Amino acid sequence: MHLFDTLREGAAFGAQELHLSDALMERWTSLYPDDPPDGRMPAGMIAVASMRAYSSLVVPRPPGNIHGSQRYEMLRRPVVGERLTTRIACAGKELKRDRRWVHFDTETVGEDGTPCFRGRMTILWAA
Amino acid sequence: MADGTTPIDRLTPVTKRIDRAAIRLYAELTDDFNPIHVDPDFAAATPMKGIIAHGLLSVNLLWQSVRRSLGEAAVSDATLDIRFLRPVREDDVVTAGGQRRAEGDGYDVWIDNQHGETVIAGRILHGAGRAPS
Repeated sequence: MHLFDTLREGAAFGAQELHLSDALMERWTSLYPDDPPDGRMPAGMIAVASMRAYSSLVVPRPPGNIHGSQRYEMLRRPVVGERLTTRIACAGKELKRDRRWVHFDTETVGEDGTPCFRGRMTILWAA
Repeated sequence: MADGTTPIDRLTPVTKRIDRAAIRLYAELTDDFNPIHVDPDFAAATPMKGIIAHGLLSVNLLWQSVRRSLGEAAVSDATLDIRFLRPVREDDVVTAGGQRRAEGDGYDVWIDNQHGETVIAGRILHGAGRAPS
């Protein structure tokens, strides 16, 4: 279990691949029918890449963590069909007014290795 | 459709009802099955006293609002920085919008619920106006 006291700044959790398949895109547009069918990943799907990496690689986590803030930097929108790789690392942690905050950095690259987007999420850590 | 070159003071609002089916589908899309989102019994026992939606589920409405208002280029070259201020609960109706910043370097953005409470707030910057990494 990744507890606040044992999480280490700079710790890398590895990489997670995401295939922007037609099936995945269909599921996304079933939730957001207004996103444009222009052959590129809708911007909101940054969250699919970053949260899948977080959910799959930063495990196990204490139940009840809460997302406090999020920063995303879009560099280019990947094309549908592309395979993305997201890496995640602990960027730091801090205790403020008895609340445990943990920061994670994500970076997602495309098949050619060029960056597509970056993120920093801050999580209120439950334990 | 905006062409991304004309200054617009207010972003076009985008509204969505966040029901249980949407929360469940978002959990599947993101592999985020935090019980506070998907387990009613667990969520009821937390300080939230019930299921809350993933914050990022609503954030896509901000991207949509920017795209509708400013065009695709404004989405493909943007830094979005937001804080989750209040939980979004099942069946809340949330509306995303924004106001051009006085500094002219982007937009202050927000998402309000049906009670007029701001649940998410932040800013979106473009190109040279991006916040430093």
